[in-house]
Amino acid sequence: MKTWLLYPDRDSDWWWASRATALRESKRTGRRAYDIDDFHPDRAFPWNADTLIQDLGLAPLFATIAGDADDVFVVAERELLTGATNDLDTIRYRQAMLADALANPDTIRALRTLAIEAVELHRHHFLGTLSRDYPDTVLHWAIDLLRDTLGVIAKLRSLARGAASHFSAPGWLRFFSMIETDLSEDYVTRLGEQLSQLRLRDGMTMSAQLEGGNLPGHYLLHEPPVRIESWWQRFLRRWFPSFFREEMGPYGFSIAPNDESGNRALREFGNRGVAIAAKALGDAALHIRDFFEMLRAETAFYVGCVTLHDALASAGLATCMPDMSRPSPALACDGLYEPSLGLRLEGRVVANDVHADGCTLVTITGANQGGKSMLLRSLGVAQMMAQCGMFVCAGSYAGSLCTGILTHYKREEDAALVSGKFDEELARMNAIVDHFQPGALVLLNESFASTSEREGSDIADEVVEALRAAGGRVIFVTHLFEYAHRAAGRDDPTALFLRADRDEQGQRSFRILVGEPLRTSFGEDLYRKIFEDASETPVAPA
Amino acid sequence: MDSRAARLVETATPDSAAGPSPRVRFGSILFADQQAREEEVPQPDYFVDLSLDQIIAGAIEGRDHYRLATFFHRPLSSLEDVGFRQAVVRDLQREEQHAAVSAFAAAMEQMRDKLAQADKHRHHLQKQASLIDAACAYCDGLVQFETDLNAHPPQSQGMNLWRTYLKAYLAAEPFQTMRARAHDVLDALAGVRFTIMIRDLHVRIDPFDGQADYGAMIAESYARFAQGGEGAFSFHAEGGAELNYIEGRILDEVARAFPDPFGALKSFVTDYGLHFYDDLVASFDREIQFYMAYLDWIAPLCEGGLAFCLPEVIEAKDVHADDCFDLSLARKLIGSSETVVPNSFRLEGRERIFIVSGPNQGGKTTFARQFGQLHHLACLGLPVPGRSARLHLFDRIFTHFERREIAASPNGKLQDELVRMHAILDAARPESIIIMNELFASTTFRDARMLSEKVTARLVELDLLCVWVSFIDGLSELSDTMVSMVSGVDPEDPTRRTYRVERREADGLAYARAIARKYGLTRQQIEERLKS
Repeated sequence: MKTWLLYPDRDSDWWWASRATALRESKRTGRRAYDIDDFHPDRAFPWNADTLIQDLGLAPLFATIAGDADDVFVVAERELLTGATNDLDTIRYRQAMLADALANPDTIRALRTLAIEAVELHRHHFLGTLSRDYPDTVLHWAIDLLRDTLGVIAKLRSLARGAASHFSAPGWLRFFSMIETDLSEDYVTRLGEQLSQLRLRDGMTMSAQLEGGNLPGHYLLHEPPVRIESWWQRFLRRWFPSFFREEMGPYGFSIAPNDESGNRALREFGNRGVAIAAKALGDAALHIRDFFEMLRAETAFYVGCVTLHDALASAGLATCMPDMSRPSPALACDGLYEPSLGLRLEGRVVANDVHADGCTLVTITGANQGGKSMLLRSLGVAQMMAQCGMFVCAGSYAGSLCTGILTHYKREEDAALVSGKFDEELARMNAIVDHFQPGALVLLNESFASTSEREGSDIADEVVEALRAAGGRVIFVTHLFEYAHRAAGRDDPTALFLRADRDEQGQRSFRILVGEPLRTSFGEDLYRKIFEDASETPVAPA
Repeated sequence: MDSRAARLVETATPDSAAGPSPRVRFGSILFADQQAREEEVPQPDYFVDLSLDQIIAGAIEGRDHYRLATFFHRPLSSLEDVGFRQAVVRDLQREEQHAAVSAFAAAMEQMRDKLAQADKHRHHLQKQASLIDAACAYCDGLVQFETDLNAHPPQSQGMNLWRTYLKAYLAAEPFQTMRARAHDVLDALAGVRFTIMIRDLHVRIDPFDGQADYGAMIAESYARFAQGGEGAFSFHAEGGAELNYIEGRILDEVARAFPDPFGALKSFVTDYGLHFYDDLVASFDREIQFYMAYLDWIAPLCEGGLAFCLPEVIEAKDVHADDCFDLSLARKLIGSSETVVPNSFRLEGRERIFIVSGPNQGGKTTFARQFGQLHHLACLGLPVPGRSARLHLFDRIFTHFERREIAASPNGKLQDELVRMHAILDAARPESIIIMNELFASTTFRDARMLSEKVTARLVELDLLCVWVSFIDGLSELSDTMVSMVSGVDPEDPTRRTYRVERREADGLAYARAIARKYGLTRQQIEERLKS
């Protein structure tokens, strides 16, 4: 049984999600979690996950998506950071699933709640680590737990039956019909009967064969013998066993009731059979939990999307399902904004239009505090959301897939490093080149600024052109006029130049428009003004 | 069993023309005269000095019960024996032969394990079963061994004698009967399957009646939920190899329910007992491990690209070896980044004595040690480190290495050294080898030179092979039977040793100059530096 809510043809890494959820919950609440000692959540993330979270300011976005729900948090974080590995089919599959989810938010939330209920049963029926070695403890634990789990399965079935008609995405239809067939009423009833039989009240039958050294081995358990008798016969047998002569075959023996060590040895021997039943049933209990862990991990993604969508909608912000099928490189969007900023400003955010179809280089220059970094960030976030199958924060969006998002931002805090700032900067660039793959999206924010402009420009030009030649797309926010000027002078149709401008009064609009780089920073202006420079050609726009 | 097998061999006809004369009967894989040597040989005095103790201890590690050390303590004294062993080594160096012997050894090991188990078991039916397992391991192992030898016939006289013996022993009726009976019993027992019903305090045994596997049925019921994870539960049953009380009673009942196989088991045990194996087979099993232990121990070195060869062993003294190395050192360096540096040596005509000099830690002692190791290993009939070698069939090896404990002796170090030296020179004969390391270091240079000259005269007179690590210059000029060897340093960086010991005249000063240059202390450098 596969839920397959995230991929059309395979599981998501639900095991990771369940461990990561337990780990996060344990860190947040201080509650002890099990089986996470050797678990390292990093393995699911790309190498530069921390850098991406920091550079693109993703933490508030994750928080909005998840709220207090740890499972939603870890799944959303993973899917956003690893979206570059999804192919177009997966993205379309999820977009269709998400559209249904946005239309039926209550059903999606109820599915996750049921999954959590089934998983949480393992907390109520707790099996301590030490108890795991005792077959009869495990057997009775599994019987009790499975009885309760069968109740959740019944609820799941009725939920599925009621909801199926409101959904149209193939993934959901497949899921609901699977529940209908694989968890049929007959099947669940049969499981219940088997559980009763497994209490082994009337003894057990095993078989064995002689293995090396006349040691009995290869034990099998067989269907337990069942006495057809009423409760009072059972009662009498229990208290007056001597009235009931056991029918013995030609070969066999009995242990005297007062032979204590014999009693114990027989019980231990019988545990071989109990162990077979306990293993099968114990594993079954864990398998069912795995199924619900999977359901939980995959519904969590859609629940997170629904939550974010609700938040954006209530702030009056627009979203759209992106069209990611354009041949690379493509990017055309209107009304693009950064979601965390949009929510913080309660909707009063400046949106930008970017039309960079066919461009492998977008250079953004212009005034400080003019919204350049926020544009870069919103482009990165949109690419990320689109590639994990989410909606994007824009009025319209059509683009192409990238094979990975790589960011290189100026680091103020690294000033004190012994190895030198520029050295450190190039070391990070070195790592980016190490991990670069054709089709990657490289976001540079004031890179190569920790050396002189001339040197920085030279290196920047070489690095950027090398990355483009290798099949990368580069979006570069820079103050390096030398570089930007040189790049703009090439008359390259695959390069787009954007500029953060000020309006006539020198007010920042935060809107970024197409424009060649200008040899100015307004600081120079200011300098000239104060020192009353007599230059006859003012360079800044008047 | 031994005499019965022996009788059979004498009447058997040999199958191959290449095989040895049928009148020679197999007795030992270690000695050409087919007489196994039973007495224990103590470790020779020179073992520690030459690191042979470490080499042998390493080689026989994990094979304690074969008691192999004694074989390694006894160098051969005849060229015939050396040739006999080298031929066996050549056979065992072939992969198929080696695998065949390994498989045989494993079978014998299994047989011994099972016999030991039979001894330990408490329940008589378990004892009996272990015995039958042991017999089967023995029989099958031997049959397989013969098959393997037929598929890849050995070349050596020793292995062919063994093969002839084995063939006759296996073909004989007693072995055939024993093997058939053992297998029949084992097969019958393996077919026994029974059900155990436990109800309250009653246990009932019945022959198995094809009941369905309930554990699998349960698992099947829930199989649809499995998501590929492994089952988490495993319970280890009490007991293990030893039957507990309940299992013992169950086995008793099973024996009653299946009288035929258990009856056959009992009669096999009564007829054959514990000593069903042939003594010569057991002796071969032990002796062949002498070769196997050494070959297996050097195998990682061969894989690492170091060369081994079967040396030409001669009674003359014009010995040589190419690219040989210290075996104990090479073994220690396995897995480290360093590799052992191979060296070569050669004596021609009247040359007898190597005088080794050069900087400390430059490989002098290693060179002396490996000269001794090579000769001892060669006279065991084993492959030696090196691409090619011609080595001397010695009668004894004497070593004179500096000993720390003697430094504290009341007589003074020099006296002790001279006492030992005297004893060695007294006992040594022209066929002996003497290896001396840093003699007379405790006295003045003048004394040491004088003493060295005296010892040299005796050595030359004895006409024996000798390696002498000495700090005294020009010792090699005393006689034309002496060859000077110098441990080298890297000309570019004199503080780095090459560990290469080469034949050339001692030139201690060049080394000193190189060190001086490195620190800028040559005359020219000092002038240059003082100019400014």
